[in-house]
Amino acid sequence: MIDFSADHIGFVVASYAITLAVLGGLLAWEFARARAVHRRLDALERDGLVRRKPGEPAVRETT
Amino acid sequence: MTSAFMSILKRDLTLAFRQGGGIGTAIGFFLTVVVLLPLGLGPDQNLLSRIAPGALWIALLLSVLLSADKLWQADYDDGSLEVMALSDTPLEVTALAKASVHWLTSGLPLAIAAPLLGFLLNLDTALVLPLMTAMVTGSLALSLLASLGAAITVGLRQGGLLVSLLILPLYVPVMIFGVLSTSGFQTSIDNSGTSLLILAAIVLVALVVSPFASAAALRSYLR
Amino acid sequence: MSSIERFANPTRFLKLQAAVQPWVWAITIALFAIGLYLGLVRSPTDYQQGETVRIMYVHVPAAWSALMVYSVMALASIVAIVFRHPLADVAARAAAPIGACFCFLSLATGSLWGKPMWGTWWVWDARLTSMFVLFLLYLGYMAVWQAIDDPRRAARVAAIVAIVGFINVPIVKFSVDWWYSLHQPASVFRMGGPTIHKDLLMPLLVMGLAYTFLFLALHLKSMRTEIGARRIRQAELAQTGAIR
Repeated sequence: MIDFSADHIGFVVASYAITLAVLGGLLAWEFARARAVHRRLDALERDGLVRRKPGEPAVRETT
Repeated sequence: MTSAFMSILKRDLTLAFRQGGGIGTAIGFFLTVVVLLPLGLGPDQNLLSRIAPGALWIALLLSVLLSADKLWQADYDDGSLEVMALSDTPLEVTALAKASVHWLTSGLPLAIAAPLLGFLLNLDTALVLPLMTAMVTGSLALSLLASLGAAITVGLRQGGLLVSLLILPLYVPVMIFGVLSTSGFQTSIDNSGTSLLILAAIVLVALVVSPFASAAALRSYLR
Repeated sequence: MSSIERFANPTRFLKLQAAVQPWVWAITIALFAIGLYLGLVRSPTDYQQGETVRIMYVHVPAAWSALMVYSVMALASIVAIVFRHPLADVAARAAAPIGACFCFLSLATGSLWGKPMWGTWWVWDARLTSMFVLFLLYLGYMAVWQAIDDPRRAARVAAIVAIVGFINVPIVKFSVDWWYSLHQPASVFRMGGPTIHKDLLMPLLVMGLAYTFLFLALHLKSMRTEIGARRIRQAELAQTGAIR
């Protein structure tokens, strides 16, 4: 078990904290980006600007 | 192919000498860095003498890099690059020719001038010749890599900073073996000869990689 | 016509990704839970390093995966250059930010480990220097994608940058090794090695696996996002009449 009264424990805590912060930030960024892209994609799909299935013409004419 | 290589070499050398400027500016920049160093570090003669080879190498890296920024730019802008790409000569040969021109017009003059400027930094006289040898060899790799960097960023509006970010990491081995082959005998073991050979090996690697990578990068801009 | 070809494989990829993704997340979470339990609760302290040895469980896997991610990126770049497969471009681009984060973490935790162990935040030895150069390569690679507007052109140029960097890393490692051994013959390191005790090795391996799966999960997710972003771009270009 980790002993929080040991020497240099600050360094151990700091390295786990920075790992958590960076990986957490990376996850949050990745998910935020995915959400934004898919929201935009859904909007375009509603307007018929993006095809749903492959095989249809790449982009439909819009008026 | 050889004649195409020679004609590009001749054309670009003529251009470089007619416009002048280029070589003079690079040496001027080099001189400025060398003058700034003692002003920043203090006039301690022993310290300067100790760091002189490394300082000169860093100044050389930066000067070569800065002068390479526009290596492909003129040809890209006026369309000559497209003509070169369409001609029978492989673009790789053209890339090699351009890198050679860059070496002849900035790498080589700087490598010859640098050790002489070393006197300003109290460089040990015994080091002048080894330093010049190493710099003449190493600057060939520097020019090859710089032309690769310039090719990678040729179509960009602000390529200058990106070139530095991309190419300086590639300069690390060149500088390490360059410095070691000049100041090897300041450390515990003298292996300046071996270091010089490894430096030459790095030059050969750059000689293989740079033309192909430059040509590939240029093609992606031309398409 | 060519766009159908271009999308055919990404579509198959998206199907696969959707099926696999939840499982990869589950495995990642489980591995982290086991790894952290083994590392923080079960594993003993090192007789020399004390509690500080626990930094190893986040430091070493980060360094491993930073190297692995760059290899994945370089491999994808080679596939992209040779076979012109658009999915390879997507894979290479999606890997870069993840690898850069791992690389940064290995540098930061390495510093935090070095300070109590060697008494300094940073040593210019081969391992640290080549890791630092690797970080610069990641930054340069991402900067290329940022700087070039046309994604197909950016993909080609970025792939060249990744491959040249891949050649560079071992040369840097070798040259700094050489340089460092001349400047300081006696090594200050007594790190890891095959003699590492079993109780310390187990959590390390589990954490290494956890990082690998975290990369896999993030990479799949990011590739999906990237493919979506490309579709948006195409639709927007079509809307403005740039392509038809």
